[in-house]
Amino acid sequence: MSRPGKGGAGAARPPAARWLGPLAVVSLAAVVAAQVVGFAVSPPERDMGHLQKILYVHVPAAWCAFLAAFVLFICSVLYLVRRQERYDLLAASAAEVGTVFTALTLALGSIWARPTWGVWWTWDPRLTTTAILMLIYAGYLALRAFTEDPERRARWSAAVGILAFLDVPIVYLSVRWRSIHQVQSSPDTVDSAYALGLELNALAFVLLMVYLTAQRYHAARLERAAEALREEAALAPGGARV
Amino acid sequence: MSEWGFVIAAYALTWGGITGYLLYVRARTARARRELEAAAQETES
Repeated sequence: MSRPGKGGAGAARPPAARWLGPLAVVSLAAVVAAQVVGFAVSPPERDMGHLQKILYVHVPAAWCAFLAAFVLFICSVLYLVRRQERYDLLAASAAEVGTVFTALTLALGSIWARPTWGVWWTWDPRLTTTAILMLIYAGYLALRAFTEDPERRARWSAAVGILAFLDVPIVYLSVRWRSIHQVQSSPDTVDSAYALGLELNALAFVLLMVYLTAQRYHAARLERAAEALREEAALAPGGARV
Repeated sequence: MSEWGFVIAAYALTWGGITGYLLYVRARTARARRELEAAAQETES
């Protein structure tokens, strides 16, 4: 088995990620503030009533799923160009977090759709293309889990990572194709009474996404460093016991 | 289910899911740190 490229994380002990703690605190504060405004304070909407509160978590979850796909895309391209392991590890971290947010997007959308549209699921273009994104994320993680050679795993998963991002503009534009899903929401397109809840939740979700990706990347780097030390010990004279 | 039932289910799923994933990542980080310490001691000895 070969290591994927130069500059591997296992080449040295990864530095302690001291900024992860403060980022966790800031993210938690943003989450609490966003929930107070979004869940507790925001008024019921004329047509949806209190169901509009679901959109404060559904819409930011979808944005984070797209953002994670963008990070995955950039890191996959960088890996293929530079062959540095850190890009592969960061891509995998973003993909895992992206899977969580895509699953949440689909589940929350389904919970909102049941009382609003009358169905849990329909083969609408927006829903279907988001489900495809979920399948690509799941495929990416399965590929990594079942490919043993690190170099091959990194190369193949980079290709799937690029494919995942190609689905994002399709998901974004799919509301224009005879979709029952409403067009894209943003703080500019909703009433000011609801914009603050959406903005705060978007900020909280993005901070959380960055924190989760960074924490997962840190864990991956520690795992690689431990693996590299074990290999080093095994190669040392009398070190064959490892 | 009432309107509030759907809202509460959505928020419980969101924060339950995110907290669950956060705990998984933190546990994995702690395990990796322990493995690194053990590997470092093996290399030194």
